[in-house]
Amino acid sequence: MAATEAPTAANAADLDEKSKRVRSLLSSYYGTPQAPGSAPSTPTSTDGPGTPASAGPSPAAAAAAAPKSLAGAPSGRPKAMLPPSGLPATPRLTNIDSATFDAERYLQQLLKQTRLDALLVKHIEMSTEIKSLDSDMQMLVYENYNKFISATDTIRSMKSNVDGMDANMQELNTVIESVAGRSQSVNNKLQQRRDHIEELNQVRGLLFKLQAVFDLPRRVRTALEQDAVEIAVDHYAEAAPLLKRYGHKGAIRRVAEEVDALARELSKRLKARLMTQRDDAADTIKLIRRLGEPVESLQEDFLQSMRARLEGILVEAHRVVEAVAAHYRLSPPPADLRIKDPAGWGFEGETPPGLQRFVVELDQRFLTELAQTAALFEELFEAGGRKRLIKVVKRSLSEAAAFEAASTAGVPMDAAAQHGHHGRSGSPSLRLTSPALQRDWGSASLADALYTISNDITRLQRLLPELSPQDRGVEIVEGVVRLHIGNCFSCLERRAISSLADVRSKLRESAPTEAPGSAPEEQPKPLAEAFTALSELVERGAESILQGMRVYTSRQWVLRSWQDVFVDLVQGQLQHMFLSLLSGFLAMAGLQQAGMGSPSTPLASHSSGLQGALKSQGSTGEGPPQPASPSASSAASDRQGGSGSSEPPPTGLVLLLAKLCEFLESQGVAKVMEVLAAVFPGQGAGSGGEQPPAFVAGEVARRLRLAAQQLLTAFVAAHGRRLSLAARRSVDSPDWLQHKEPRGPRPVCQLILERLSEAEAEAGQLLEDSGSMMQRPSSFPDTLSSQAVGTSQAATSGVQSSALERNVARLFSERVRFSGRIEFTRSSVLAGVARLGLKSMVEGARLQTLGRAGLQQLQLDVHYLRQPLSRYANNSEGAALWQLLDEVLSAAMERSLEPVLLDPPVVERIMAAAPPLS
Amino acid sequence: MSEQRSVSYGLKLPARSLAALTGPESSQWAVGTTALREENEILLLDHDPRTASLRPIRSYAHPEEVWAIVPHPSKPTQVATLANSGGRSCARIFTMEPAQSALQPAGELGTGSAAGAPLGSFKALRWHPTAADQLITVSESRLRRWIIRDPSIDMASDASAGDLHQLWTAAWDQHDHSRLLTAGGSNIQAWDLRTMKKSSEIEAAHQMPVRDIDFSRQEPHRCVSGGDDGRICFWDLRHIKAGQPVQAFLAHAHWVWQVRYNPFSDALLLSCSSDGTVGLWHTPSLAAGGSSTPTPATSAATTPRSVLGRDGGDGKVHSFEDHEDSVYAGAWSTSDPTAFASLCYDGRVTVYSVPQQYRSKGK
Repeated sequence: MAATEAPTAANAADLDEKSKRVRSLLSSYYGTPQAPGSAPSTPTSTDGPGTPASAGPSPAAAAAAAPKSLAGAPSGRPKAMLPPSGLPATPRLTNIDSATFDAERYLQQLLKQTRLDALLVKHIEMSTEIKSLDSDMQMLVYENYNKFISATDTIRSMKSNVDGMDANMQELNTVIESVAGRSQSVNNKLQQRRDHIEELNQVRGLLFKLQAVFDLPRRVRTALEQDAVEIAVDHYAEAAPLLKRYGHKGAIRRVAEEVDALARELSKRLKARLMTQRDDAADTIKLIRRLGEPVESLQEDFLQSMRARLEGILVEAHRVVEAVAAHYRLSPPPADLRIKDPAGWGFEGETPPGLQRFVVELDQRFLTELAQTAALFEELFEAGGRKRLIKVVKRSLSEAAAFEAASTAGVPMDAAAQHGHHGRSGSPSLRLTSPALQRDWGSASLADALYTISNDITRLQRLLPELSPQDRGVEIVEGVVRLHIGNCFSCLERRAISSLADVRSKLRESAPTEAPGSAPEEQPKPLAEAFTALSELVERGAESILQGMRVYTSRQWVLRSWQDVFVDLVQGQLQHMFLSLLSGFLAMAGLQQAGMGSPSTPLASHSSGLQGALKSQGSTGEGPPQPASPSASSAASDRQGGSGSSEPPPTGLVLLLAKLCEFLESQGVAKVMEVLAAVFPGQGAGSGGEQPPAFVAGEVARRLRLAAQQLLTAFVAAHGRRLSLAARRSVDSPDWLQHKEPRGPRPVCQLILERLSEAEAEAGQLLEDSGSMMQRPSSFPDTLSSQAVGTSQAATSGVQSSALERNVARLFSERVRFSGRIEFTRSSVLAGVARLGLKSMVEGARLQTLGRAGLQQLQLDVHYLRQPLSRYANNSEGAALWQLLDEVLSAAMERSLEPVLLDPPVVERIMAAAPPLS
Repeated sequence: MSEQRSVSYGLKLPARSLAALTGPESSQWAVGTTALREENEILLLDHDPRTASLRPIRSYAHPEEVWAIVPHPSKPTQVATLANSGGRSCARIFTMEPAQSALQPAGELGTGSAAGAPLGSFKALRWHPTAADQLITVSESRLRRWIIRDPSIDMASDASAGDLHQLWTAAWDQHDHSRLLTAGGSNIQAWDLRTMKKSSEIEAAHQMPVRDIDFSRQEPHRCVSGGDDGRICFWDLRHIKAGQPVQAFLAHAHWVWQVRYNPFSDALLLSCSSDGTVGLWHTPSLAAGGSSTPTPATSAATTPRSVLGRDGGDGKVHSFEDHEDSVYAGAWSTSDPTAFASLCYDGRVTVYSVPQQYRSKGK
């Protein structure tokens, strides 16, 4: 039983605890003290131990009993109400505060289980308990009521309080509103003032600025006067926007105008400074920009100044070149020969710099300047102006290139030409061999200089890639080489022509002093000398030029891209030189070439840029542009030979020219071809594939041959004319009808022979004899004299014979041809001359009417001439001459009223008895 | 030149004078022989181009050697001759009657000298281009103008050639009849016939004596001269002050004895030389007046050029070389523009025709 009792007791204690807590909660809720609560708890606590003690049944019985009692007591509640666990129902039944408390059952249980006394006790206990509870309840209701009443009171007082406050609040509101209104009005009033003040403040600021503006001109001017350009610019720059904006009206306009004027002056001054002070250029440019100059014009100015400086360098260099030329005495010293920095240009005292030195110096100056300027430009202006920069740089670069080309090509040529000059003017004789021929025409030093130039130009690559400096370098090289070639050839040509001019003047001078009687052997042989010198000059000159070209071919970089063009160029120039020499020769001889265009200026084919530079170069000597001028002028003077205003070219010169042409044709061209083949192996010389070679040897030779023939014919014609005059004098002058008996040949015959020997003297210097000359004196006259006697007898008989017989007789004699080709031999030339003279004699005789004595006189003359004439001619030509002499005689007989010739023995006798002529 | 056609006739005596006869429809020439000791004659030759024949039609005896025959420009039968008889020079006018074999004398020019100055031998005689009764003679030292007044021939005026010159020939301007050119020495003189004064002179027109002058029939102021220097020079008389010919050619190897414009075309000329050749010249650009004003540009052409004008330029287009001796005279036919005759000293007259390509079209 103790086991069942223990949990029941525990349950009972648990229920107590619970009710106590409810009570305290309630009391705390109502704020009542603990005391009333404790009172009820006490019975419970006392009650609890009593109950377990009274109950002692087994738990199962107790459990079963309890519900029975409960159910039996109040109402018979189903056993389902009992916990299935079989917990004792007692505490629940006893716990009146429990929700499941069943008063009926509790009562029944009580009735069942308890004894009467206990019931009584219980009853009493319960009634007391009810009584206390009622009192508790009463007290609680009272207290509750009290509290309610007080709460109601409090609420009532609160309500009355609040009602009173409302009015105050209203009042407060109105007060605050009025305060706000006032504050607003005060604020408004103050705002006007404030605006005014603000405005005044602004005006003050403006006035301050305006003051600055009005002061501006003065300040700028002051700054200008003190040359404080920077400050002036600062001032201007500050005021500029203002002026720009307001400068068009009112009082400011005046200021603006003034300032503008000042600004212009300022910018002018700055630009001047830009020109002069190179180092400050950047600052100056900045200043000018601040002056509001547009960038374009600024760039323009900048580039202008740059160009001016670059040109200054070129001018300086040009002076140097002139000085060099003057040094070599190629030109009169220029009047304004002031080289600022002779030492800088490599002058050592009076000695001008070498080419290399000069080029290096020029490059140094020019390119450095250029590079610096370009860099500066880059720095000053953005990429916008680059195009313009490139343009200007390109222009000045090409100017410089042209100049360099001209001067570099010119300088060595000057040197070369100078040698020629000294060689010529130094020696009185006509020896023309000059040391310059041994030179390589400056090719080597030129190549070195070119190397320098092209390298230097490449330096610009980094700075100005647009210019493609490499190409420019190649261009320069090409230009210079072209120019040099042209110069070389035209220089050679010039020398040849001027040597010829010298020869001509020498011949003219010596012509009067040439005494008619002086033997040709004693005379110096100017023609032979001149020919040797000239042929050597042309041949070796051309050869050495070509050899000089080796320098170029051996240096690959020179001809990198235009090897073929180069070869063509050289050949073309060579051909040009030959042809132009040729036309120079012909012009000198007073002849004009047939079927050939006028020779163009040798250098006209070159780039025009170089041409311009060349013009300036032309002052350094007999300039390349005028190589044709001496020959042209001489041609002009020779052309007037017919009008008597100037004498025709000396015959010796014509012969010299003819011989030169012949020499060039026979040897010069072949030699040149050899050299060409050696210098440019595999190129040119007719092997040039689809294009014809620029040097057409055949054509050149053909023209030379033509010209040689022409000149030779002219030589023969000139001498023939002189001889004709003499011959005509011999037959025209006397009165043939009243002629006296002849006593011997007339002196005029001697004149004819002299004329012939003059021709011989000239021809003998240059032309070779054919081989039979030596043996002729023995055999020739004999054979011919017999023949001559025969013909003269035929002529004698022909006097009476008919024309038919005469013609038949003529059929057997060879006809004398005048248009025949004249060979380059002494006898052929002399025979040609004699032929012309004798023919004139025939013609002259035919115009006369002679008496017997006159005829016989002519017979003697002819006889006298016959022997000496054989000296001049070869067999066949001699025969022709003799035939012409016969014709003279037969013409005389035809024109004779009394055709009676002297018998040959008589002739011999008279000849023997005749006084010797002169 | 394969189509070159020539036909010849040989006289028995040497001859120097040849003249085309005006009038007849066929081409006729008169040739005068020059034999000092023979009986000379004037032979009329007729050329028929169809049969290519040259045959003598008449011959007239002319006892003295004939140095020049000058047919009258408007009277077909009248002819003037310059003759030499034993060193005596005379100038006479004849009428050639077809029926007779002798010349009918129509007058002789006096050789007397009014001022007593020596006349010298006659060198040339020129009829007035239009006035039928006027003529001019050139002798070595004098220039004389004559007027025919039947029966005598009167000297109208007389001028001295000057001390330095011996006149050789003359040419009467075909357009300006008051102008006459004479050749004296190597100069050419222009005369104003109204005053009989030298109006101008080309000094050293040739390097040697001038042999012949001819005026263009087509173009005023244009003339050509040939000289002993073998050249022929073309002149524009408006520009002779400069003394430079418009064009000059080295034409022959010896003296040029005659140079003649074709009467129908200035572009054709013939030249005769003592080198035995006859040159035919084709000068279309000169005839066109292309270089009539010598400018500096064309003055380069004034030096004698070699004579290769076949490529359309001016120049000698053919040289006829079949004469054996000096050719002293040449004359264009007056009726056939393509035919001309040349006379060699050996008495051989050859008539040539101009090659087809040089004949001017339309004529």
